[in-house]
This record gives sequence, structure tokens and C-alpha cells, in this order.
Amino acid sequence: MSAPIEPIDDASILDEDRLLRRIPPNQLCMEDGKLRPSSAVFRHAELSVYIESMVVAQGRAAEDVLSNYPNEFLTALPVSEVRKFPYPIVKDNEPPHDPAHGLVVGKKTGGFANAMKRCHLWVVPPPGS
Amino acid sequence: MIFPVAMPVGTPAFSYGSQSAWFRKQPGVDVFARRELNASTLDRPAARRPIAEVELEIGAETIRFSYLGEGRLPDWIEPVFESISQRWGIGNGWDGHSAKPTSPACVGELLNCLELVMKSEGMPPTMTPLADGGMQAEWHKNGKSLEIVVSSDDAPEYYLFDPATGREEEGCFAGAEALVEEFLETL
Repeated sequence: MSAPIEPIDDASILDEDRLLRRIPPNQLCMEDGKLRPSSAVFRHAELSVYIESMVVAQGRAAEDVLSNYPNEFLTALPVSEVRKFPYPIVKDNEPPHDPAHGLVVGKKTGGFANAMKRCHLWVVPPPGS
Repeated sequence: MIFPVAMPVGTPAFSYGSQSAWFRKQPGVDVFARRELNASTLDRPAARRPIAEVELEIGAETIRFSYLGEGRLPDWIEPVFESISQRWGIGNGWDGHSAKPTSPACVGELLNCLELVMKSEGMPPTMTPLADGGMQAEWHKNGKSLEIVVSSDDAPEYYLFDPATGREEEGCFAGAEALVEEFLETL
């Protein structure tokens, strides 16, 4: 039996790029008067994201990621911040996935999840954020 | 909805259905047993007895938790259950990705963690569902953060952060109750 293949960080996703992530309302949290994504969002072992440069290369606006999710919000994580932690960023864009879909792979620590919460930048913010 | 109920005596704090919410043994530690030890050695309270049953209407389902306590319901129960019911992850993919539905067993286990570290009048946490069916309790104030995380495949964990001092810690909740309780009091 062969060993499982370890995911390898995709160097073609540049540090200057951003990873877009939809945020549902029940994973927002009020912190000192502002709405932020809860760290719970970023604890997923296969954190589903959209690679912003690939979305744009398809002639789509980043906000297009929300087109079928009118009640959700959109945030962005700088790739350089994600790469401060040992979690590979990989493309996951074979059909039926979106052509710009990617994953941040690995069992996450609270340190990672909270660092992402602190560095995130709203693209489509909730009211009151 | 919270209402008094007669239940067989014997299971402390929260239970879900017929099982104690401490459904997983902590690595090397029996938290449930230690909890009883703490309760009996610290202040020797009256025997735990049935206080209430809490019903949550989640989608088309009614989920019941039993609470056995020492006189009255803690003040934090109502806001915490309100947060749970408002933010419960209903159905597969509730996060717009691949999330599993929130597990009542994980919620029960998290409630028992809260029971261990919260004072009755303590600041209630926000309860946030995890994509794996678990749930986390989180407090944020003046830049400080405290989280207790119960995921579906791990023992409960905690995370704390204080930007003023740069203190950042995380680890297994079992054995760290005093540390978590102490940090909670600084919020």
C-alpha cells in the first residue's frame, strides 16, 4: 500500500496574492464594537478559498464569489500571512470545483486561526464591521 | 425554552439525551471524575439535583439538554443557549462550503467546559459553530481573546491571547481549567 501523498505548497500562488473566503452570518463575531470573522472559520482542516488573481484572470470581480450566496460576506487573506504557518496552499480547481478554487491544507492551530482573523481584510463586509 | 423538570439524580451539569455530555475521555484524565472531586473538596455544595431541561428548536428538530446543578441555573445559561440556537449550523454545507451539521454531543461537551470555568454572573461567550460539527465559545474584550473549542475529532482545547503583553497560549482544556478561569476573570 502506498503512503498518502503529502500536499505541497503551490509556489505559483504568489505571496502578493490574496485568498478569498466566504463568511456566513453565524460565523461572524463582535469584537470591540466591530464584526469580524470568528477564528472558527479558519480552523477547517481543508480551508476552502478562492485565489483572487485567478478569479480576476477569468474576468470576474472578487465579489462574484458571492453570486450564489447573497446572505454571506467576503473576506481576503494575504498569502504572505498564510505562509507564515506550515500549511500548504494548493489549487483545487478540477471540475466540479470553481476554476479559481484552492485549499489551505492541514490541521490548524488556534494560533493560525486567530492570526488569520487579525490579518483579514473585508472585501464585502457585513453592516457594522 | 428552559423549564423545570424531574430527572433521575446522578449526572452532573449538562447531558444530552441519555448520555453525559462528557462523552469522550480526556487523554489521561477523567474530567468528569475530577469535576466531582473539585466540587466536593472545594466547597462541599449540596448534592447535585435536576434543575431544568433546555429545549432548542433547531430547524424542524427539537434538541434537549438536561442540567443538574446545585440550587439554581447559572445566569449565563440563557444568553449562551440563545447564542447556540441562533448560530447552530443546520444541515450539510451550512457554511456555503462543506460543513457538517452541528453535533448536539459536541455542544453538550462545550457546555460542560463552560460550567467548569464560568461564574454564574460571568460574561457569556459567543457560541460559534465549527465546520466539522463542533462548536467554540469565544470571548473578546479590549483586544483580548479567549476561546474554548470542542471539535468533533479532538478533546476540548483552549486558546488565549492578550495583545498588551503578547501572551498567547493554547492547549488541551483538561488540566487547564484554572488557567482558563483566571484569564476569563481578566476580561
